[in-house]
Amino acid sequence: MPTLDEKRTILEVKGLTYSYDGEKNALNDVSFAVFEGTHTAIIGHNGSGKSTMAKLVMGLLTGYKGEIWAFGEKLEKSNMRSLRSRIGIVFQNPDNQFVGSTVADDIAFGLENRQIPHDEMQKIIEEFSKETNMERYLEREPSNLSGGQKQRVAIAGVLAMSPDIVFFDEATAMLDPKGRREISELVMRMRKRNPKLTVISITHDIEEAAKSDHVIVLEGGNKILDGTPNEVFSHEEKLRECNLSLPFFVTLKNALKSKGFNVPDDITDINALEDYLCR
Amino acid sequence: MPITFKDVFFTHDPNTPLAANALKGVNFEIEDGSFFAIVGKTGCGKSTLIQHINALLTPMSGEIRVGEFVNHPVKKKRQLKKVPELRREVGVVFQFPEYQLFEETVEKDVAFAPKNFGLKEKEALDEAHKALSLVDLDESFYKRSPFDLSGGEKRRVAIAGVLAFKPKVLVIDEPTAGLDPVGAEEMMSLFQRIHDEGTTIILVTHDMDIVLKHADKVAVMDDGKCVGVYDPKELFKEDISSYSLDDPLVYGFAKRVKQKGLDLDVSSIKDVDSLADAIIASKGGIL
Repeated sequence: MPTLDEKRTILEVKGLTYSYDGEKNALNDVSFAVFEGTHTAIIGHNGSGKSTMAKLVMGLLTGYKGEIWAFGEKLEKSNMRSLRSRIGIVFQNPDNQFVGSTVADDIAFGLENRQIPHDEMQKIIEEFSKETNMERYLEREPSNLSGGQKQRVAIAGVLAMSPDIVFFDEATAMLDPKGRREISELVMRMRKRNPKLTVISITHDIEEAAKSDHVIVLEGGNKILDGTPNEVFSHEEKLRECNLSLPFFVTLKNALKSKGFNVPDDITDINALEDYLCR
Repeated sequence: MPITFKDVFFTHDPNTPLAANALKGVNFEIEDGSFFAIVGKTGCGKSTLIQHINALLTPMSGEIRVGEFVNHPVKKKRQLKKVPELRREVGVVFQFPEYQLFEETVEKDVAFAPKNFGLKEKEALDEAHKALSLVDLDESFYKRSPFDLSGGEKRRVAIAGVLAFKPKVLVIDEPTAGLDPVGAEEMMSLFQRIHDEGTTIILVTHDMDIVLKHADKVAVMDDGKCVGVYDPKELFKEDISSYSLDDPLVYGFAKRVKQKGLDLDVSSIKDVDSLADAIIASKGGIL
């Protein structure tokens, strides 16, 4: 796997500062880059600034200091629409993002806005409802679906717009484990199908972050850590200060170490640890 | 207060095209003072089930006994006797309880139930303050608007509102959903503390690591029925994927290394620490 900085930067924020009330900064001079084709996880506890960050990048809040660059262009009022059209968003609450009266209508909503011809639209709906395993539900009412199914419809609607970046804003926080698994498998399939697709997830799920390519940690509006999961999760003290827990793999490795059973440093994921223990 | 479900059937919207059988003959017993978990996939009837415990719903047939109180089929709910007394003894914290806050200040919100149950203003506020300190919110929060708090703080205010009338049984539905990991851990240690002081806890959750760590019994619901009540460790030894349940992380790991050939004793595993002990023991101790 190439290291992160060998990849092309697709999104970059420079010195981003934002305040809701003009007194306290919700974000404080935050800079980082997101690379094409990677899965980046932005983590931090409730109130760390991660949702503010997402809203700024998605153009839902304005009046910030600093710069946001997407696809090599600086985000301005004049190019906001065209840049934003290449970024899809899946929100936390599955019930807050439906507009259509059927699943098919809902997937079609963005396409209708873009005035895609009817025949072509039908094809796209078919393609992405299959991709998300929702093709049997096209005539159903979204409100009668399970949480995981609703989020899959939301994702189908986002993918139908062929975005280059998909943002998941705590999109699995309200789902049960099965729903969560469905979404993470779907994200894997999406990335396999289109290796250039960039996925950014704002998440509480430390296990999800441990499986990503790139982890950014925010705390009190400041960026605290930025690197591969392996690099980031080796900073235990800092993570504890940020009220974040460690992934299961790291906790277990540490517990073994503290009891005098050392695991070599080159064991960096759960599968490797299983194999090492069973040798 | 022991709680017994006996042949409980319940149908949502009966005699309409939308009729849905949610409970199809539920039987089980919850012992006084236990930490009792209820698990099962979304739609299996968990939430319908807990609404029977404080008589928000009454069964179509069968009965639920909570101490002296009996919840049984009635035409109109007011035919049930002693519902207010029941609701003083059984507190229910629903999913995302922070959406239920409504008062101007935190202390007024928490004092609402004790006042409703007949305490004078000052006594109710005293109880509210005690409940707030249980959930680690100090006096700087008393006069603040609950709507200005963070998500985690709001949830703690809502829980304090239930603790303020000192229920003997506390029913909690997914209390850790949407919280960050440390917030979730704090939340669970709060309930553990309340349990250790003598309250019966009934917890609905999807998080099997929480079940393994905290519960002494776990009921598995599947398609409107309780398929069994287990000691959590016994349950997780089995293959539970057919009920759409995940293994706790520690058990999943233990099962996989066992399959790959490590001779591991899983009977003592409760958390990461005991898993590490079991691994070291299986490796013949520290060399």
